[in-house]
Amino acid sequence: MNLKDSIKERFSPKRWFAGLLEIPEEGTSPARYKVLRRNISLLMLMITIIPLSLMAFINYHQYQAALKDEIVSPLRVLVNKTKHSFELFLAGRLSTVRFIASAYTYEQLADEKQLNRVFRVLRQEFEGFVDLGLIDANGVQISYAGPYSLKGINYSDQSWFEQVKVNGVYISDVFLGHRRFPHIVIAVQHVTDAGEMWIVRATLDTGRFDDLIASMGLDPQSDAFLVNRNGVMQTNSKFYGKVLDSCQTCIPPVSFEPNIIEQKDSMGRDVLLAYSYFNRTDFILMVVKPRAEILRAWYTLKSELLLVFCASVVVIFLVVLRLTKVLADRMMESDTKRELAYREMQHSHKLSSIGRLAAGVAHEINNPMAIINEKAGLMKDLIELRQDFPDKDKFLGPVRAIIQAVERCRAITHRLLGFARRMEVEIELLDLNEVVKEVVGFLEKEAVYRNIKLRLHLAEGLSRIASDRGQIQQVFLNILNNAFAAVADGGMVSVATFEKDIDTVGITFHDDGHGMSEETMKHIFEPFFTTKKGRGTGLGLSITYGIVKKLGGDIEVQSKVGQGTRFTVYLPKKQPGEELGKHDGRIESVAGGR
Amino acid sequence: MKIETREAAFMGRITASVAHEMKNVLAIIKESAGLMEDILSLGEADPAAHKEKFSRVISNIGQQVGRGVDLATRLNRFAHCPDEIVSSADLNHVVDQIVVLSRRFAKSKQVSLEAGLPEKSVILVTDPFRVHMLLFNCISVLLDLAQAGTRLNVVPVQPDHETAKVIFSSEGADRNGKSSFGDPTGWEEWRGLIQAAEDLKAVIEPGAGPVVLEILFRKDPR
Amino acid sequence: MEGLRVLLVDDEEDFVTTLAERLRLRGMNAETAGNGEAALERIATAAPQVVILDVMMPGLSGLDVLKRIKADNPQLPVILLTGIGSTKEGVEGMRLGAADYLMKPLQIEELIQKISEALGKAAGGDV
Repeated sequence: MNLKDSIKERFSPKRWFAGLLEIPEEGTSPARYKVLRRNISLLMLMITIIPLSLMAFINYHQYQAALKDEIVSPLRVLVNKTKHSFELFLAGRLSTVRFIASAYTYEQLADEKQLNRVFRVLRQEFEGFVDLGLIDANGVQISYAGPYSLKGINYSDQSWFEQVKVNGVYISDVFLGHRRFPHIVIAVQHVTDAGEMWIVRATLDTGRFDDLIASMGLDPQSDAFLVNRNGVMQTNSKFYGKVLDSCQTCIPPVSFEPNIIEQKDSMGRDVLLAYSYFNRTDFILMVVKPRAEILRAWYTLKSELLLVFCASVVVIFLVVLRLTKVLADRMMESDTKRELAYREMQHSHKLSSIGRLAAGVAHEINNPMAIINEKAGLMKDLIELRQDFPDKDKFLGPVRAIIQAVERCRAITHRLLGFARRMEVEIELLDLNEVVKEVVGFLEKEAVYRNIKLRLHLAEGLSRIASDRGQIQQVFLNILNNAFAAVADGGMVSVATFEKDIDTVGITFHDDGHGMSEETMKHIFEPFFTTKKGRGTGLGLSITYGIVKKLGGDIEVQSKVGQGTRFTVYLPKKQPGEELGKHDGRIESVAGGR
Repeated sequence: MKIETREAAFMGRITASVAHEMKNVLAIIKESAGLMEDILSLGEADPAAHKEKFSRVISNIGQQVGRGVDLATRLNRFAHCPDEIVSSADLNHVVDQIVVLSRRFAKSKQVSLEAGLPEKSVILVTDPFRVHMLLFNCISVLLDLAQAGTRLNVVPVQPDHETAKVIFSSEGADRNGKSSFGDPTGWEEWRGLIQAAEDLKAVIEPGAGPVVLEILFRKDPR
Repeated sequence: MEGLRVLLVDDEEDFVTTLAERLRLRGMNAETAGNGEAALERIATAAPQVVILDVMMPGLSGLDVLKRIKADNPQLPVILLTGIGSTKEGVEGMRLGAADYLMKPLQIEELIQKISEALGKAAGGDV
């Protein structure tokens, strides 16, 4: 694996996550639970806050977009509609003038009486017309109906005159006329089939413009107005100037479709500018909405979102920290309880082991007792059932047999006494060979009963070790019981002791029983693992393991299915950090053998 | 001393006591047989004269055998106590067992130890080993306080459906001087109780006269 | 009871020979066997009328012998002898067809009583 891969492997997030989920296994030290707490807290915080943030982030942007749309779309529609209205209005007025230019002859229009009559009707039917005039091909106003005296004025050098001649129509920007109020001019050229040309010119005031703008129904903070492509105000604006004021900053990028842009206005406010260029004229419809206004809803939402987010994070923190504390405390409590219970069970197991030895003795003693009983009974029979008193030899037999049986019982009882005495002592100097022989002695009867060959290969001069006799007996007894359970009748169990190294002794238990699979071997020292279906608590080997470890030793197992099993127990010669317990003279009895 | 060590010590003590008694039994049998052997090998040619004696000796041997077997049976039963941490037991049997197993200790103090067993069984769901140990400790304590030649009674009682009591009383005891303990439910409490029984020695003055000790059990603590 | 053929099966020689002798003193025709195989052989050849069988034996266990006996001679009454700690084998033996069980050390009168009961049952009783 090259360097890059190994670094990746070392610092990969997967490993880090896995590390978070690991808990140091040893014991119930508070450090373990602190680590646990920290890890769980971290994990919980991550899985709650990250999605929350993600959601908040997504919501934020979605809301922003949605709100913008909500503000923006209607605005766009409004601009469009209003622009349309304006264009309709202008197109309508243009049609009217065009109609006049086409429907009447030059002569009729040149006749001022007739022109006035047309003008009167015009004013009646169509709002806003200020005057009406006929201009000949030379640019001279031939006839005029209206408030001003414009008859006879020559417009031939004015640009609009040229424009009309080229385009056929002309609509002017707003300008201040003689009477100092804003209006626009609509001029239409008419050419007859004969080639005659005249122009009808009408002036309109911009009242309709104001109406149209007013009809937009904007809120007091917003503003709408018309401006021309040079930045000259065509209508009054609330904030940006009166009619014909120049507003250089008001010229937005060209767009004939309603467009919305954000910019700072002349007052320094952030505004949303919705506008559209008019297609046929120079006008630009502008609607200005202060961003603050539009976005008030958005700002409220944003601050609410932020508040909820922060509050959630705080709550999450509090809950997670509290929860993990409670969790870790509970775990520690239950682990402690479990360990206590396990220790109790361990201890109970030890007592049971001792009990088993004592019970074994009780069983053993029964047979010689039965013998004594029968012999005594026989003697009784001899006395009672025979006519003559039998000769002394007939009696000596049973008597001697009784004495022998008594000896047998005494040996058993002595053994019982021996091990009963030792139940109190904790650490003493042990001759392991003696302990092996003692434990094997307890199982001798079963071995004979089942024809199991017991072989002992005890190293001579094996160093004494300082340890707990009772516990070591328990270990040996447990392993041997398992061996006995594994072998068939007629099988073989052997025990060997040896010196492993200068600090350690070893004891091997070998049997030729049914053995274990690799899979089973992995689990045998686990609590509650048992291959005896229905029987056995599965605790024996796990407790044995615990004892060996506690005594500072080690235990190994090798096995092959169908061939047998070998358990090896290593024990230190000296207990780490422990002094020899009180032996009050019993060392002598151990040294001297029972 | 750790409770575990004390429990192992208790087991050892009882086992050793049984072993000692068994040795006594065996000694008697051996002596009896030895006597007969002597009579037969060293005595006069006509053993018929000793017919009576033989019968007695043989009968004695038979009795001792009975005693020995009883001891072995009790030992066996006692040895199986730690097998179950919780099981149901007849308090009467437990009291009987403990009294018999403790008699040797009582005899050495010249106190006679008797169990007054009621007719009906008193069933407890409990840790049998620890009940044995607790009862034994109570007897030990009272034996230490009792005067030679007196009697110590152990009587199981069922005051009501939920509880059972064991009353230990020295002969001619005055019931007003009693101490009673709570009922054991958890193992921690067991330890406290066993400790309390041993501490009792410190509270009651030796030779202060008869004393009554009551142990209250809840019949099924589950 | 006179001349009753009894087979005693127990691996403890001193015990079984003494007991046999005691039964002979009472007029019975008592024989012994030291293990299960020998017992089965004896049953086949000598046709005892009742078998006294120890449950705790090495090799072929008492219960195994009982099963074999009951397989071949279901009418043959078998009385089991148990020791301390083998009472449950006695109970199991009853389930397997033993007539009764007794605990060692035994009272010979009790044994004789149980023998006659077992014979009575085998003769007239439940089939």
